[in-house]
Amino acid sequence: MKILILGGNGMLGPWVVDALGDRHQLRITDIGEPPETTHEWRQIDVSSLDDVVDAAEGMDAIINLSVLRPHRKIAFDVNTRGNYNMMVAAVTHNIQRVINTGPHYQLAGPSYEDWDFDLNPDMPPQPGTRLYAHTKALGQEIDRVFTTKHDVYLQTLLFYHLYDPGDIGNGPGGSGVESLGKDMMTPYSIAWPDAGEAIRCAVELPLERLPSRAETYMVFADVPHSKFNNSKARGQLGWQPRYHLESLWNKR
Amino acid sequence: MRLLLTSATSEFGRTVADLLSGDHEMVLTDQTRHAEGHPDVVACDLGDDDSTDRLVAGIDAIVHIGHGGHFSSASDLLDVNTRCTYNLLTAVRNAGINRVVNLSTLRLLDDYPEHLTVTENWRPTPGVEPVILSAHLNEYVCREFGREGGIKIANLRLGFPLVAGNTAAAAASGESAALAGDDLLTAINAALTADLGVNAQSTDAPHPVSFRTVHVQSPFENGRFLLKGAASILGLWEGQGVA
Repeated sequence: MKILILGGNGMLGPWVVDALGDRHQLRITDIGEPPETTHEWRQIDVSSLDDVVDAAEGMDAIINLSVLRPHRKIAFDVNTRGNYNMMVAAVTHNIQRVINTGPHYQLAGPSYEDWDFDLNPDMPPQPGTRLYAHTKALGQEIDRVFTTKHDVYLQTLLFYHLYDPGDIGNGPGGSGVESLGKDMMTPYSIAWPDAGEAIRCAVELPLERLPSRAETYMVFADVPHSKFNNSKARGQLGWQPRYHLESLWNKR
Repeated sequence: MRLLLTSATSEFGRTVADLLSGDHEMVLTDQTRHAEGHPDVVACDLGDDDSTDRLVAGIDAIVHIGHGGHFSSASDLLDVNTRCTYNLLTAVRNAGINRVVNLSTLRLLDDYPEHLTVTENWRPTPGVEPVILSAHLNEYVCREFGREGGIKIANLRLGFPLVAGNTAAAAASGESAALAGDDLLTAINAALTADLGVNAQSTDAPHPVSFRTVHVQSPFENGRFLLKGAASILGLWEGQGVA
């Protein structure tokens, strides 16, 4: 599959490239400096409609990893309008598969997380007005509206805290327990390699197995507190987390 | 009341300003590129700097045009209707201004066949055309501010087309969702002061809601959209209009 990756040289990008690189033909793009890679590379700005449409030519799928958190204007440019540009590019080039990513609270904002349990990806979004959550939620809504009018399939994978498993004493190479008891973080955590693998599962899932043209997944390690629910990611994507990040929540 | 009206140099903005100016002290504002040549309009790009804070200082309520203002590129429409609305509402919330009337459109429900009894409880079905998509996103921004409280936002989805004059003129237009200018003024005035109702699920101690969508078209017989929300929330046109 020929895959365009937007925001491909950020934090998550290299892990996605690791998961996909041997199996697919990648066109990695980012606004920043090029990565060390054997794959095709382009420097583009996702807030430029022309840049994104040009970059998507000849592709079979688009993965959006672009994100900008703190700057008020650029957050809207990237997180909101960048999604519009991506969907126009998909429609322009008849690309059926679009994979979007974002933080869990673009869907399950404080009005859910402060109150409830078993939070799942099929709830109506309540992002609130926190800039990062709000701008990503608007981008997600743009994507969803496009799927109601065009033959484009959207899979959205929600992440939050991402850990290097070697740093927190879990799985191969584990070395320490420094993060134990950071309960505000443990409800939604995942190891970087598992995040990359989840995106590979989404990319390779046959479109005919998607129940609708817009599916969302909460993607995090198996943790015991049932604040959120990752069963849809496991069941529909066929994804299995390899790292359980146990030192975050188990005193032993 | 001392009202701030956005997109005030657009054709729709001028119409709204003219309607409201008899009842209120109007402060008109628009983006810098549109405000040039209009000495009565305060130029403000609704950025996240203190110019937006200064714009809303001393204002009692905001009338925000979320659809039907200036026509421009897709990128610009999306920017104005998401980021600029976000910046405006942030400044409004910080200033302690309690009331915003957002002017949206019933075109968000235009996909539903006319014979259906569409109310505020029906899900909008926007298309991807920038004018409609951006109106939908503008409502989304307003809804999230309303969810968090601190501002009361009346989201008026307006009928179409807008017809000069009174209800009879709208009825005579032959358009089933027409809205007369006189009825628009009536609806905005009601929305500036109505309490927007209480949480229907909270029966022991009902508390006020802070975001409410109300459908507004002229109340003539066989109109397209039900006006039960206008009756119950704004106290308008009880028993008039369709059904």
